[in-house]
Amino acid sequence: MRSLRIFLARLRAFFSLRKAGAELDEELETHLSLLTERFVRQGMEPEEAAATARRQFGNGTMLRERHREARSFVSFAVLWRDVRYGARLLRKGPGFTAVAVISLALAIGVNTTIFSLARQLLYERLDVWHARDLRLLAWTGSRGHVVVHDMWGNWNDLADGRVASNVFSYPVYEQLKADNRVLDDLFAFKDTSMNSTVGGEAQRVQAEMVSGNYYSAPTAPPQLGRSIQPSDDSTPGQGAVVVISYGLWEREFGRSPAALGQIIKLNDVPLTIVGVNPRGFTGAGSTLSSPDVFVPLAMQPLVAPGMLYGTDDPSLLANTSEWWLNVIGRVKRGVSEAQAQAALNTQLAAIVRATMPVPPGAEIPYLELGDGSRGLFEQEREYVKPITVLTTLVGLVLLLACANIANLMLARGAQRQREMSVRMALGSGRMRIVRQMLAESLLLAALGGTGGLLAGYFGGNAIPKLMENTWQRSSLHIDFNWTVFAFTAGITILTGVLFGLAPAFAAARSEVALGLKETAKTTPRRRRGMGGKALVGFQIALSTLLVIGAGLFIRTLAGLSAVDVGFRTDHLLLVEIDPPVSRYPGGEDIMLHRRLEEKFATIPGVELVSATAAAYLADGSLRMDFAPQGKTYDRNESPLEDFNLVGDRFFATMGIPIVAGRAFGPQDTRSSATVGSSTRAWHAHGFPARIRSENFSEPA
Amino acid sequence: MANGGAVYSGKSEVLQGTLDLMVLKTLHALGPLYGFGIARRIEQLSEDVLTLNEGEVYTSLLRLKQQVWIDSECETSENNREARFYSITGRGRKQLAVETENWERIAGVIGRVLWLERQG
Repeated sequence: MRSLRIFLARLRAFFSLRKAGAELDEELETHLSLLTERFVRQGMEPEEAAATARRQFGNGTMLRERHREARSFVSFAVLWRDVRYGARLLRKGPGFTAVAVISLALAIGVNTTIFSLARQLLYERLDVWHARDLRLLAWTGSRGHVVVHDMWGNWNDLADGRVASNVFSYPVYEQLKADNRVLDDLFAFKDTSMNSTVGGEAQRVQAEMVSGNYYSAPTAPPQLGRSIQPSDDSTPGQGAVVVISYGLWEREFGRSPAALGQIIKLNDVPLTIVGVNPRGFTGAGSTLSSPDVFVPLAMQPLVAPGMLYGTDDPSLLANTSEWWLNVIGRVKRGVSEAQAQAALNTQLAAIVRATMPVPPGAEIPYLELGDGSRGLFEQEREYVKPITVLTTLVGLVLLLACANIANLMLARGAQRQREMSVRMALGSGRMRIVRQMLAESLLLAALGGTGGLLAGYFGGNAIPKLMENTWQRSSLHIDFNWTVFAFTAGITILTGVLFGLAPAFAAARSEVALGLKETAKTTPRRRRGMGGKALVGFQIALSTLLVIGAGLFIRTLAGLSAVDVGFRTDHLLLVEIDPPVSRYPGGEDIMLHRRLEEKFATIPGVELVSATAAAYLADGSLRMDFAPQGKTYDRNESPLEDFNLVGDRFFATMGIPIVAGRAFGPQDTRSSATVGSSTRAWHAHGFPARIRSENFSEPA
Repeated sequence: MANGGAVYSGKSEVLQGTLDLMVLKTLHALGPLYGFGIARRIEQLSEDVLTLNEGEVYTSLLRLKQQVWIDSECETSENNREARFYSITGRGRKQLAVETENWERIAGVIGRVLWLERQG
């Protein structure tokens, strides 16, 4: 209580030091002159009187100095002396200094990097107005029974035999939007990649097709031009406009305002650039990176036509069986989440019954409202577990670093106990010694913190580089996060300072003579020895844990690279080709692929070339209803199976052996008998024994 | 060696504590005074037994003020000078009572000890 009052008084005085100093000067001046007058009245000569007054008053300079010190926390000169002394000591023990600083720097740097990464991947919200209020529409249904069969987008097989997805058909979206009373406006979007021509140069771009009301929330104004408006999205095929991302604008147009009005082609369809998104805007799909271009959904029949098997009409806008569109809404004030979900679910059921044939036994999907503040949040499935493991590990590293620092500081303190006792014996104040130790600890912390800042900064830049590959721009960037840095730096530095001060307090408390005697005889003190031992034990336990963890991790990694995936993974190169449908309609695209195969095969060093619709282990698969020959195809009964469309030399190229029958050849054409092949496992399980031939029929 | 922390514990640095007590008592007995007045009063009472650097009075006043045992105010003194007048606060009175009792007890103990020594 008492020390708190003094602290507050000093704090107040700290902000009025100069004023207080001037007032004191005046007060002392008055006192001296009064004293002089008094001596003059007693009959002294003025000069003698002044000298006597000064003598009786004492040393005014020292008095002022002491006042200043008492008023403020510590004078700058004293602090500077402490820092210089600390620096000298650190230089004298380079080993200790290096170990402590490196420990601090590594702990702070690594933790800052990994925590920033985790934060960015899992906790960042979309950079839009009130992202917290966004709700992503999704649905679940029983696998094999749900009425939705054709999907372009994410689906998730849940553990309980259900499937979950977040795609809807365009007619369903339109109806939901029209009937919606429980959410603020619903908007729709679809992320896909497209062929583009920007400035005469072909490139693959990420595109987001968006509904006309996509930009209606009062979010940041466009960097340039305008955003997409409802009028752009009113008539299918009309609205040939595109808004580009800040990234594309910077990359392709050098941030020139002349980008506005220029034409870029998407799948050979010319579109006019009308705007540039603000920096930091990543679209509604992802928080990690922005699609390069944004086009109205009305342009889908032209810019993304016929992307689906079994549809002749390039437009998906009237298609009721194909579900492909992501829908996000905003919570409405006064409507609870449960109410909104129930209402939307009822609407969805009615719309599905009205727009799709629902055979008996088929199940209507059940609508669920999910968090939309992170968009589709696709990274969640992939990264939650590894990031959790990673943060736990680096958390342990942080703990270990703290133990390291604590132990180092304790050892150092024990070493210097004698010095402290000597200083106490010479009359040094306790606060003075504590202050000295504090200065040293803080100096060390500043060095370590600077190192950590650098390590964190470069670590944040290095991680995306490590994840980069040759054919994709790394879209991930880790923003250096000051909050995270402050947290890790704070924890480690606090540990250092606390343990740095502990010996000082101990020395200050203990009897001077005892300290001198004990260290002179170098008798280890029991209590301190115990504390140190416990710390060492803790450090060893933690290190063991981390080493074992790292060992297991490396083993897993080695095991993964040794897994037999069923084809030869060595000397295999993957090229992705997606010719625009408008130029290569059905049939011609096959010819194109044939020609490309032949051309590629002539390149020296290329052994075999084959086309494939789904590249294995390359993040994609195709699924289709399937019925073996002899069984009638039933849309609701036949199981969904993985399938692939491949070129003639596919099996040879991939090194997949043919166990029975033959591989495909040039004789297998459009007009010949339809043929296929199956995996051995599937052959054993899925095929009725009597038709173990190579033929199966594709569903019409 | 003066040290900031120990003064207020009032156990080790007896002399300084004594000066603080004297200043506090003076303000209690005579009412608001300025620094020069306090020095004169202590000089008068100590009758040359204590030699005091008068500047120390100001250090003492600062310490007391930080404890909020005294308060200060600028006023015009009798010879028309601007001067800072110090007065005791309620909290200061309480502290004075405590310190006085303490002092008397210690003085009593020391007195008894010395008296016994003389006897022996």
